[in-house]
Amino acid sequence: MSEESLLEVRNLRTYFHTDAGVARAVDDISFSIGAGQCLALVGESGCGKSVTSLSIMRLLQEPPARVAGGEVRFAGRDLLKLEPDEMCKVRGAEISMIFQEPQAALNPVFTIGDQVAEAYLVHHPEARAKDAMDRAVDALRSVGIPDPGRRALDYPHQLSGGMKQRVCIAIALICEPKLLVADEPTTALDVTIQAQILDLLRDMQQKRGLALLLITHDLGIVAEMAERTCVMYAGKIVESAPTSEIFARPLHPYTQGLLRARPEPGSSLRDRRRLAVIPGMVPAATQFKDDCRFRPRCPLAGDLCHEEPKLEAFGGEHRAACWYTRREGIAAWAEPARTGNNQGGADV
Amino acid sequence: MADTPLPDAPAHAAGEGYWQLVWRQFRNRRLASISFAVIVILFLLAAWAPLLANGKPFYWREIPFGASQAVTTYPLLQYLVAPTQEFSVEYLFNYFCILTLTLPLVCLPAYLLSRGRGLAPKAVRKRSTYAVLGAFALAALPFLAPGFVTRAATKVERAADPAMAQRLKEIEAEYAAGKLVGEAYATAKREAAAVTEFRILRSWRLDERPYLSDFADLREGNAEVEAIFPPVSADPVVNTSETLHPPGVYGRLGARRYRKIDVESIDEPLPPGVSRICLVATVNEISGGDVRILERDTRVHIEEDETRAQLKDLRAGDRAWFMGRRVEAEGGGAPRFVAEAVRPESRPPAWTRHLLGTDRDGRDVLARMLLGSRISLSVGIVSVGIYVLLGILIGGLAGYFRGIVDLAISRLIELVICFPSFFLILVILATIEKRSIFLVMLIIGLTSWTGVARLIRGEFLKLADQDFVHSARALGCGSLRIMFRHILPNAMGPVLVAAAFGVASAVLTESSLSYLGFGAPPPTPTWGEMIKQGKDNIEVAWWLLVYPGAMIFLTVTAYNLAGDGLRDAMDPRMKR
Ligand SMILES: Nc1ncnc2c1ncn2[C@@H]1O[C@H](COP(=O)(O)OP(=O)(O)OP(=O)(O)O)[C@@H](O)[C@H]1O
Ligand SMILES: [Mg+2]
Repeated sequence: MSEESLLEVRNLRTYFHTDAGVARAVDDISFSIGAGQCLALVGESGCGKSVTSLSIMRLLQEPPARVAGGEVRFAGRDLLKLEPDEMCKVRGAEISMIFQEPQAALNPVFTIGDQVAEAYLVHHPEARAKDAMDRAVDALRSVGIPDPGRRALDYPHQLSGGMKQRVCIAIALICEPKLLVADEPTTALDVTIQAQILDLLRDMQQKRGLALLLITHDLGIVAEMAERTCVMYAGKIVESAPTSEIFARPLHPYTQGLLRARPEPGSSLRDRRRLAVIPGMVPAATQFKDDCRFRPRCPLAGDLCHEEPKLEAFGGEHRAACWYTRREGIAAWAEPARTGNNQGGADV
Repeated sequence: MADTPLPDAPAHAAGEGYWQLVWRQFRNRRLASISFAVIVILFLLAAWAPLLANGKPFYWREIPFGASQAVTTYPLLQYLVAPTQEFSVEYLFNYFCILTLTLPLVCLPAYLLSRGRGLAPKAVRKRSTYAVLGAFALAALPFLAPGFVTRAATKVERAADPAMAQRLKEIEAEYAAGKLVGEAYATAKREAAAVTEFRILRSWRLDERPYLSDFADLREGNAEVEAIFPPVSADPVVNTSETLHPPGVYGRLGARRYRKIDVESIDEPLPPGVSRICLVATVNEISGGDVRILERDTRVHIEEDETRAQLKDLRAGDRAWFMGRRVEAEGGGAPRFVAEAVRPESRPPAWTRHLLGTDRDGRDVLARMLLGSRISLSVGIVSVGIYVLLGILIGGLAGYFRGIVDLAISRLIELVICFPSFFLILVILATIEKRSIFLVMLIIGLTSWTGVARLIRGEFLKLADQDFVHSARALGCGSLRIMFRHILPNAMGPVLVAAAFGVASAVLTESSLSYLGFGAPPPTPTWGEMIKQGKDNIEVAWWLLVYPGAMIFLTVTAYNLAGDGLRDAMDPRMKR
């Protein structure tokens, strides 16, 4: 990476020790985010995106979760080695997080003003309650809540979903963190409001030089927001590249599948109905083997795939983990074919 | 942006919080609101009990005979800020009592001053906060310096009547010179004082012997007194072990043993072996040293002066017992009954004097019920407070930390639940020498926390997995802050309901304990103890049982109904 990175995750492994065995939900992943940058983490449901973000924040319940290895370097420190109370000082103040369900993320019994002010007071215990409230009102105004002075006295149930997500963003940003982890921030919202929230996030990013770790399975959002994208599958990062590269030259069959499973902006309704689907499902995290984890669903799987592929550079910052890609080279994927794959190709 | 609330959200008015909604729904329930009002009134009565029922006057102005100074004191005020009982319950209620005076005293002028000045709501809120805090502080002040209050409340006026003082001086001089002797001296002195009878300004009570008897010379009529007493007389604690008997003639068998003997009248010959008689009867008429009694046509003669003095405690209609002997008349006349001891017994309720009657020691039932309400009500609040706190702590730990902590605590809860708590309380109380009401509160609190702990554990288990808890943790809140600031307020609803029912059952438990004789030590009035006394005298004095019983019933019912209403008001499905 050219610039100094703000967050650097190296070989992170997070395992869950369950009755059904050890679930390697996040297995040896690495990525980095520069200051002010936006990195998208995409992948199907259950592939370990949330566990990655929670591992970075150290919010997983241990046990059953255990961070089995790796490093999370943030601003020169390894977060995984911090004492719990030091970690409390990092959360909210330096790294914040917003969640998928704004409805559930707000405490129903306090007014939103109280909750925003509380977020400030947690990290500024010396501040006066009145100052904290003034700041809270300012924060609510800055995330685009009309009449914030009055709204601050409202309870969460009196706001719409989009408003609530704005409040969550205000809470997350009131201590001016350097990194915001947004775990599917718009999944629970309808489309127009999604766009408004994304605008707001981008706006905040530009104004405050905020770095963003955006977790989503919506490739449209990725295209719009992220400078770089990591594609996750079954606990692994299978492809990582600048976003434009991902869309122009997807190297991993899974990435290609994802791209194909998405309606093209110009396509007709008829075409949409014939959207490709990736056959099969992400295996349960306890079932992961030491082969290529995508192999059972991969149209191109061959003998090589019984061994685990490593992420490998394919020019610039574009990296992918696939034996087939490695053998064929980039050329094979220069022109992503919309018709080259169908369900029949699945090797199940 | 569509600003529609979720479909399952209760119908809130604008700007209305959850607890405001609950309160509104609570008020909509008639029975619950009435019960709540009853509870509030009970607490106000408990706070005002010393003002309503007390042997001490509000105001006492006294000019002792022969003195040239008047002393004004406010004994009740002094009692309020420095209660004689060692219970801190008294302090707490006295504080509330004073608070009910200072609150309007501070808030009303504050309200009048800021009314119509077009203040912003924020400024109004600020002012009212200051006013209320000020009232609280003001009410606490006298407790900090009770000595100061006593001194400030005592006023000595010098030379109340200079002319009288002058005349008295002359009399003393004459006496010293030997011109006035004996009876003449006393008469002159009495005449010199303008007023020789003391008079008492009172509300509607007729006499206030207990307080007056502290001033022996006042009884002789040697001073002028003005006083205002609380409406209900609280007679002193008279310790007696005589039990109340139905009217009749009893033969005395031993120090405290009597047997009803089957004679129509005292005039009849007594059975052999019985020499002394106890006559329990209703007073019909008092004339001179004789008392005519209602039940039989007997005249009780009282010879000794000392016994005769007790007659002034008696009134027609009172029940009294007379201890005495039969004296054969010389010269063949009818034998007479000569009483050696007279004591008024329990008096039935009457509009004019004791509204709810008196107990067998002559103590006013209403007064004891009012003063007892302080203890009976605070038992509920304090013991429930103790166990709610304990339950929140223990259950919260289990529900929040889970795992081994939860396992250990759950087993502990099961263990404690296994003991029948009432018998556990009995056993503990039976082994303890020095009983006090606080012990009862403590033991009820320490044995009944399991229900709340289970409730809280369940709520915490449920809530700890909610997103707002995760996001609080993502904000950097510590465990304690998350437990008590973020989770607990969401878990308080069911606990409040349980607490309302818990108060009712604690009041009952305390009454049962007192009834069994395990409550507060005897002179302390509590409802349970009064019921116990009432039970012993059920055939003759129904009022001793009925009124305290009604109070317990009222309190317990009110708490249960209020708890019911609260539960309904908090359940969104029962919304209306
Ligand atoms: N507490 C847990 N105990 C056991 N396994 C878990 C636990 N939490 C997550 N996992 C496993 O980790 C894997 C990754 O879960 P994760 O929540 O990160 O998925 P995700 O990519 O965020 O999916 P989604 O898009 O649905 O949010 C899943 O297979 C899940 O079974
Ligand atoms: Mg997720």
